[in-house]
Amino acid sequence: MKVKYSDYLELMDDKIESLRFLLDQHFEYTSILATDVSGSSYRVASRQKSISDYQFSERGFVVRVYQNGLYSEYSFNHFDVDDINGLALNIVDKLKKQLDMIKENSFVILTTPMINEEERQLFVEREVEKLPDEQGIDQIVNFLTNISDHGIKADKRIIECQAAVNMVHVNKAYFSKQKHLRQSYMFSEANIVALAKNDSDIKMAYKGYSGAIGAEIMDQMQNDVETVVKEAIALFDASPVEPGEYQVICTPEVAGLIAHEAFGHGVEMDMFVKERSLAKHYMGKQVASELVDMHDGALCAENTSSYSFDDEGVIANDTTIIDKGILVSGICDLLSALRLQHQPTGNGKRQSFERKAYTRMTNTIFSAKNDKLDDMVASIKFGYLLDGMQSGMEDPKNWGIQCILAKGHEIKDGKLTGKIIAPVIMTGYVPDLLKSIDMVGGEVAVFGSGYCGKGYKEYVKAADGGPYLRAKARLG
Amino acid sequence: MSDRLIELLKVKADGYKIINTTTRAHEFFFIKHKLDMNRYKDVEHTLLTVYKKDKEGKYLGSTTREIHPYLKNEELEMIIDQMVYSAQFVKNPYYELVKPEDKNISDQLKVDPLEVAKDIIMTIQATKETPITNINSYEVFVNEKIINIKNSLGVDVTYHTLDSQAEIIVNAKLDDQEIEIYRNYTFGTCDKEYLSQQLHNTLQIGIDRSKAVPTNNLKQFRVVFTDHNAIKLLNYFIDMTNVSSIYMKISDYQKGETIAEFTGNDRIGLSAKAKLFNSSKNHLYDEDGNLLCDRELISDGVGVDYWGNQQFSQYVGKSKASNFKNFVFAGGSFDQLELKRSPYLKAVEFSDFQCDSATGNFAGEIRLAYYFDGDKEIPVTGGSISGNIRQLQKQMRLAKDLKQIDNYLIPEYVVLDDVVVSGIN
Repeated sequence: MKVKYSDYLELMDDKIESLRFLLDQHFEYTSILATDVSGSSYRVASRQKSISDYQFSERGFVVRVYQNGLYSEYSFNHFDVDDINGLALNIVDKLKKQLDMIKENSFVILTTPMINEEERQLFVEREVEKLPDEQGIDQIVNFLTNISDHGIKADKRIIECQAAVNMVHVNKAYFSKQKHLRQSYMFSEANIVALAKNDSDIKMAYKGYSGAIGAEIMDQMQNDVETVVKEAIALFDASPVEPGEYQVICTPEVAGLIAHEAFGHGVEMDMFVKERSLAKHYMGKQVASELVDMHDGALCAENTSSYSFDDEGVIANDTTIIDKGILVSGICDLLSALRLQHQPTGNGKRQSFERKAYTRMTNTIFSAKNDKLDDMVASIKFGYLLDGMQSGMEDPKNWGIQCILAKGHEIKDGKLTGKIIAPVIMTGYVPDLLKSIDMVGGEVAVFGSGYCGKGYKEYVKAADGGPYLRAKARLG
Repeated sequence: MSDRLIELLKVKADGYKIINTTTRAHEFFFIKHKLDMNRYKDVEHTLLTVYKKDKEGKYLGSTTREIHPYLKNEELEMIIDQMVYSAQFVKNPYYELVKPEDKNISDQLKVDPLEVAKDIIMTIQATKETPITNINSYEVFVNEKIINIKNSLGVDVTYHTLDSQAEIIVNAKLDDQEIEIYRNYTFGTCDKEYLSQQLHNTLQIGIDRSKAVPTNNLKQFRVVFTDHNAIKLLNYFIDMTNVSSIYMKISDYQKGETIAEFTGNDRIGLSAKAKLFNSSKNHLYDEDGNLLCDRELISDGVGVDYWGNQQFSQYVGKSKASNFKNFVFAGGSFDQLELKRSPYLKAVEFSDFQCDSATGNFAGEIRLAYYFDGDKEIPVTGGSISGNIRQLQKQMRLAKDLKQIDNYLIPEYVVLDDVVVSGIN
């Protein structure tokens, strides 16, 4: 089913172009990004239900202009179509006040070359199996209620079981002198969360789902609630890990977390401009074992960050970052590309039209090889199968790793013993971890139900993944 | 649009709430001290919640959506119809909306946001950098907001806020070692002295971090938490007193009962405040339209009151609804003299310190800590700490002196024993 382009943006198309044209009389370069992102968020728990807008819904515009080596932006959502001239003059006036303040206080400008674009027209409407509008609201709520009820009844220690789904329709249009780009696509994400309580403790287990898909995401959730409940209960018997270095197998979800947190953030090239990234000095060098290939791009998977062009009008890409263990490229937004004399890679993303664009990951994936999971487990004398991601934090300056994982399954003499450690913190130095990868599984899984921040703000959708990996890691 | 919207809602919905927020913001982005970009923002967001009662009046369904500017009447009607239809499937136990107070309080903004932005930038640029430590980059945001809350029972209140944010990266390089420290300062207007002092402290931390040695494997050890890390731990107590945690049975907190079997000298004291000096979160009213008035929550380790939104406050039925954003903790008895009697690890910087209020688990990778060996503090780096505050709170110690960090006034440090410290040495 085609995901139809926004009626609102269709209606506004020539008006936005009129605004761009008027602003072009005042500035050396003007572009406008128009967004219309809508979606519904359904959340059902035993004590609370809600239906609301998807939390990052938006409808608005961001103007980017260039004058005398400086880029400025103006974000707004009041577009008075009856006074476009007045709107243009207001934009000029507000930015001029800022520029006057900058001049009065002698702030030094980071002079940047002007964007030089090639002509391009694009109109894309992607497809999904089931459009959310075709599912009844009652059907969706009942479906989630069944999951929640089932979870609560599965074990008397379960105090809460939540099932949630977001279905999001993204529409964006980019206007410049040379480009007119429009896209319409969908993504969905869902989760089941179980909270268990005994006399002294509360434990939580979680399963996420995601994809560049529509309401068919609910088909994936059908049969998992009992597994999630069992995982929550099993955590009561989990022990803390004895801190140390271990042989580990990372599930695809953990492999994805490593790709994203430990490495991906480090190759965001706006950090190269700021001299905040160690990776800048390792281009062309061995940073991982020869078994490791890694990609990032809106085109390299179909998940929650798969689009046709980015928020700066750069066409989507699939960038090889690591090739046989050698660091070959970073990912780059448009302005950083101008400053570094590099090609932009289609990774310029904004949290919303209200925020600045930064270099951001899209789908960050380790490639598959040929090893089998059974062989990986059989090869380990004492170690852990690490599973479930809770959080991670980047350290591009020093390539440190911090990943907090849900649990580890103990492996002894080549067999899973049934013992669990939880929670698990993985720390260490990224190249050490990546160079220790000596077995790589044959099938990639991609996960996109989370959100990626830059520091503690600028939240965007990003997906990551990989196959099973065997490596050495420090756990605590 | 507001009048048109309300006329439609009066006909179609059993109740409604409209929160209209207009934000005008100045934003400046610097790499080193060179201006990378300037931005201006002028946006209006109208968040509509529509309520639908069931026939027996036992349940109240609701659904929330943003209403974009310039929608035509037909579009508004269609959206409201869809929302009313959706609301009937959200069967939450019935609760009342906020009723208007006897008097409306309002305020005016007295500062120029562009001047505030300029002051923040100038303060950062005036920071004394050294050959070892300097400022790598910074981003400055100043938001002026006008907030209006209306509901179907007659609430109609308007107030202003100003909040600022300065995200700053500090670099430190000693010999071949180069590290960075991330800081995200949030406040109301620019307090130049406060911001200068914070930046000076951060540059000093940069120097220490560049000299840090690997953290020893300390197994179970006394750890001292400060600043944002202390706030994350203390949020456990704030969340435990929130009516939604109680209703969801995540918290066992009860008025009149001790919150834990404290074995040390210090007990938790906690209050919620409508306003705190120069907080970025000074609001006259909460999101439901309740006028915020200060409230004591925990006194000497014993539950006194609750806080939270309109819906859950009615479900729990033990307190007046108020969704606070400013919190004050009481100081303890632990002074510097007592602190220095035993070795400790003062964890100052983590890559990302997390504390889960539901499970009580906390953990973080150490980027900088100070190991006190009984004689002097030695900067250390690497490794991680972990623990569970539900288990460790009994012997929690709190500093005598208080320190404000934006919307929190907390003891200068929080001390926990038997925290697992996994070093790398």
